[in-house]
Amino acid sequence: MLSLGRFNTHARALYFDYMTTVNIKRRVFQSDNLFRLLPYILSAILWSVLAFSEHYYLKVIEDRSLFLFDIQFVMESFKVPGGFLGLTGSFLTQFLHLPWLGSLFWVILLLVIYQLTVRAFNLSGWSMSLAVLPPVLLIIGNMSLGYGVFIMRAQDYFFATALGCLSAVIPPLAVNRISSFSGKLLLIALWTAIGFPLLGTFAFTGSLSAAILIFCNREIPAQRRLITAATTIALIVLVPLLTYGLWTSYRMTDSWRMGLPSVSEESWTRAVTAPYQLALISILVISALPHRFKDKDTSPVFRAVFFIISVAAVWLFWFRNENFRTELAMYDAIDRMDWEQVTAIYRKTEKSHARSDAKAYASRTAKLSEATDKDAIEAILDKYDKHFFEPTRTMVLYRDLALVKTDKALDEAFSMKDGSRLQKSRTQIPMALQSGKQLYFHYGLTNLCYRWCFEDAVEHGWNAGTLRYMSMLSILTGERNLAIKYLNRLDKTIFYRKWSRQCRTLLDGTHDISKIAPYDRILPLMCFEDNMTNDMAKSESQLIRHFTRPRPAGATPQFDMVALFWAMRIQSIDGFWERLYYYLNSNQVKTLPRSIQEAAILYNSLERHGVELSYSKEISDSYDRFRKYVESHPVRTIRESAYPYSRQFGKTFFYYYYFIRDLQTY
Amino acid sequence: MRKIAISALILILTACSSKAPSAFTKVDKVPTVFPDYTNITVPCNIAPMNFLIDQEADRYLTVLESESGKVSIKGKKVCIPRSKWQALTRSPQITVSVYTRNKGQWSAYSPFSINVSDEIDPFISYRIIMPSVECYERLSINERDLTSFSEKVIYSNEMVQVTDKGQCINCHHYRNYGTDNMQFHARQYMGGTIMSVDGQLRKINLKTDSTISAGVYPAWHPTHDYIAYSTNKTHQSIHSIDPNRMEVADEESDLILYDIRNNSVSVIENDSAEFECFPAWSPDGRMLYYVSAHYIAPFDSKRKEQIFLDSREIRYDLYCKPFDPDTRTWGKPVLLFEPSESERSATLPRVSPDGKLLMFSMAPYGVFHIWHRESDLWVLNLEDGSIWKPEGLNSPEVESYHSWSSDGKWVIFSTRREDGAYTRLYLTHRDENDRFSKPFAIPQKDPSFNREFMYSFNIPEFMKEPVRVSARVLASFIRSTEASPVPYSQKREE
Repeated sequence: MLSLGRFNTHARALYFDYMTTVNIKRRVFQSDNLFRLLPYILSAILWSVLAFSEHYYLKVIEDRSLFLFDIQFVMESFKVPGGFLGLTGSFLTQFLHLPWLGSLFWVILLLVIYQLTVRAFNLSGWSMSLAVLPPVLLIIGNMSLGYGVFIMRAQDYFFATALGCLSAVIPPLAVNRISSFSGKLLLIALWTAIGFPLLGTFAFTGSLSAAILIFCNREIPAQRRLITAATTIALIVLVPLLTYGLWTSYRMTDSWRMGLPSVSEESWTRAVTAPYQLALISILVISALPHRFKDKDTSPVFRAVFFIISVAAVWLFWFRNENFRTELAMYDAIDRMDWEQVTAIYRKTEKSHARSDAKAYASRTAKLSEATDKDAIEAILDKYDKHFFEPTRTMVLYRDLALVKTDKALDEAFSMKDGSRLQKSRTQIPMALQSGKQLYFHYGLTNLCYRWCFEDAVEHGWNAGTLRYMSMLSILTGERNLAIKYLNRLDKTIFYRKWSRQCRTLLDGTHDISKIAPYDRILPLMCFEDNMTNDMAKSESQLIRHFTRPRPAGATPQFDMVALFWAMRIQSIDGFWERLYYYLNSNQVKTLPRSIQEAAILYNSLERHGVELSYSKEISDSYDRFRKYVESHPVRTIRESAYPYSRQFGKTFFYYYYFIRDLQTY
Repeated sequence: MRKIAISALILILTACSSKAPSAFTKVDKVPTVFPDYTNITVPCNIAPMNFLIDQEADRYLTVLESESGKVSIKGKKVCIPRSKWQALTRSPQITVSVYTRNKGQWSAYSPFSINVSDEIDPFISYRIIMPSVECYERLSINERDLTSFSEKVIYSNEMVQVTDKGQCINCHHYRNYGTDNMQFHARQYMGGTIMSVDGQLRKINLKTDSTISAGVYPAWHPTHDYIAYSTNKTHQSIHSIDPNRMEVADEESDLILYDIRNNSVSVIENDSAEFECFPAWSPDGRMLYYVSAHYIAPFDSKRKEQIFLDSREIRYDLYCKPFDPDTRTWGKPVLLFEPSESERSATLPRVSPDGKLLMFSMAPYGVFHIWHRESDLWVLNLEDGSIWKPEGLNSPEVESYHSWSSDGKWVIFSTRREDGAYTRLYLTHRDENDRFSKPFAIPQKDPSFNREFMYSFNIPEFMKEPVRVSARVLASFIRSTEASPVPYSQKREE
């Protein structure tokens, strides 16, 4: 018999054990709940970031894609294996036109992939964390592209890859629910054979992952497991080989990567496709995970670390570049022809760097004061170059275009920062491909706009953006039937139908397009004589050549204004005086724009041309101050002195002339 | 249930009955249809001439009637069942009546006719290409059965090229409309001239040290195993604002002869002051027709630029050159037609199979008329030397590449008349008086196809039979075979 005292002790011990277990379970339960909720919390964060911070990026992806409610379009999609995926991917991509909606669909899709992965592979405890791998890799794939968006051949990749991953977890999910072995085998066989034309290589991942599940299941006899493995591998090898005769749109050796995104630049291929391939591999790895590992619970710390690493990986690979974001925002504003907004975006970016520029300058000055030789100075300057804000040429050209369209180019273009920062990109994407159609269209170089719309369509497929520009271009050149052809395509979209119908009204013969935007500001620029040209994919060089050619006989006031602007842009003194003469003759100028006065006072002091202009006192004073400043602050090197000078005279043409030199044009 | 089903069936059948309305208002004009198939002459073995009624109405009804059949079709798109069409085409004329209904009132347009005439070669082939400038990511040479709507890819560059190693394909050509002897060029990646000689595949490189390029525009000798080619150093440039967006010009061009049996290349014409191009044989193979432009400029680094500056002044005349195929001996070239005198330029001479007519395209300047909106088709009568622009054949837009059917009764040609940018294929019938009928677009299953399709068709060629070698075999052959060089041999002259 137990004594009461001993009983009490035992009961206390039991009670203590019980309570400890309950507490542990409660903690485990609480942490389990937290980890179950974490994907949803992260998804909500992801959606917010996409919808409100990356909306321009998403809009460009949509602009470069196309989905038509048209049988011919549907049939065309099935000309490659994985056509169904491409079609549904394109269908969903169009919703990125409303970034909040498109990104919501995508985030939901990622969550579904996560959930189905958990279910398909019976993941529990720590192993549930593994289910975040495919979505994380898909996020990395889509958000690490950067300038790659302009060379993506597949237009559906944003959603198609996620849909592909989703499809890849369906066969394992299904085999778990089929009890008979023959049923399982039949499912794999059918999935491989039917799935390939519809889902491409994603179908193989699904089959393989289901086969791995069966192969790793020790409860199934070894012979059957081997049969499954052999059949699946044989089908994956044979189906593309046997069906190759049905297709004529790809190389046989590419059969096992059909459905994966592709790019038009070979050097990008691996970087672009790797995350998606890894997402598929991760599904295979999860399916190969033995049960005993899946069930084994580990401390929440492991799972927390796993999630943190995942978030960190997304953060690390997420393409973040201020110039790129600005370019995309300007791209969008130009497409909307919101010229004030284009300039405002540029100014905002410029302003946002004021503090960091000052900080970089202070830090650089401190370092330079310690430098002893020339090499050390150069090294410091090199190091700090990237800390200062410098726009890409695309940003500058977009900004200039907007200023030209608002008649402010001669007042404001040289009051903003200039430069030619390289794209933060694996390879430099030609400006003509990225922005050629916009620049050429709005500057009236119609045939070059046509060229780059078509080059883009040939290389990357027709997209909504290209169709819009081709429609406007055809309206501009009076090619009615051609305009209707493109508008007919846009009529079959959800988001451009209204735009297309508005454009169509211009073709009824009752409208004078010379009075309608945007044509009203383009037609006056089309007064030049024809010449043979080839831009070699360098839009800025082409624009310089174009506007610095001898003045056309029928030059309009608008053309003279733009030609003068480009003469100033290339810092040609002779060109400036010549173009100024034409500008003043053809334009009714009451007050000389600021930059013209500054250029004239500067050029007159450099090379007396005997052209006397009346300068405002403000400009004269400014130039005097500039000269005195030069005397008191001799320029050692442009790189070293640019910043302090820019703080004093950065908004003047004097600064532009002396400090913005030898820019690389693209 | 059965009663309901029968009632539903009767209702459906009644609803679908397509009798012409008894009460209507007559409209004194033919309806606008697309493609324009009003009052045309078609081959008796052509696929159904589907069209759409290009005007708005609440309801449409089309009645096609001939002595051998009648069919009524509802709807804006008039897609004629093949069996019904075949019945209709047994008679020489089909009358098409179009009725439209607006606000409950039927209107009857003036009927138009479709005349049924000579049989046509059952197959054509063409290249599918976007009207782009430099990029050629997706190109294919396709074969179309004109008696149906079936189309297949003969070869597509996507089957061989890789991302950065593109392949351009062009100039498919057949000997005497048969496909056992055919050729096309694959340029750049794994390139060469791909030939099927009596069904055997070959891949050759026709560039020799003595010629300026590999073979370009081909003309297979009708009786002997020769192919005449032009050799061209071709460049393209863009007009900054001209409606003719592109200019394609030769920096140099000559003519060569490839001897298939002896596997050798010899020169036909290589005058450095002449741009000889577009060879075409007479049906007996004893005369080679070609065009040539006289042009002199220094052979230096500025030549290419100079050529584009002078491009509006470079004009091609029509020549012929006698040839003895047995001895492979050439006679002196003869100037046949000199349009340059009147500031015009002729290209693409093609002789009718009866040897009587030579069709060519003519524009104010240049050689690559697909980019010249002014380009029209002209005909030269080789018997009496008369030259004329066939009435009703041309349009304000481009008419360019043309090909005679094997019996010379039909001509297929490429034109951009529909929208000014996308090349479409049109057929015209030649009657016994050498008049050409109103041209019409080759029929498509979906009549709105030409409006929707975002590619051009070019280089239409007639074939009597389908290509037997599959695209897969061709791709595999091109991938696995290096182009074998062809030795140069001396030209033989009288």
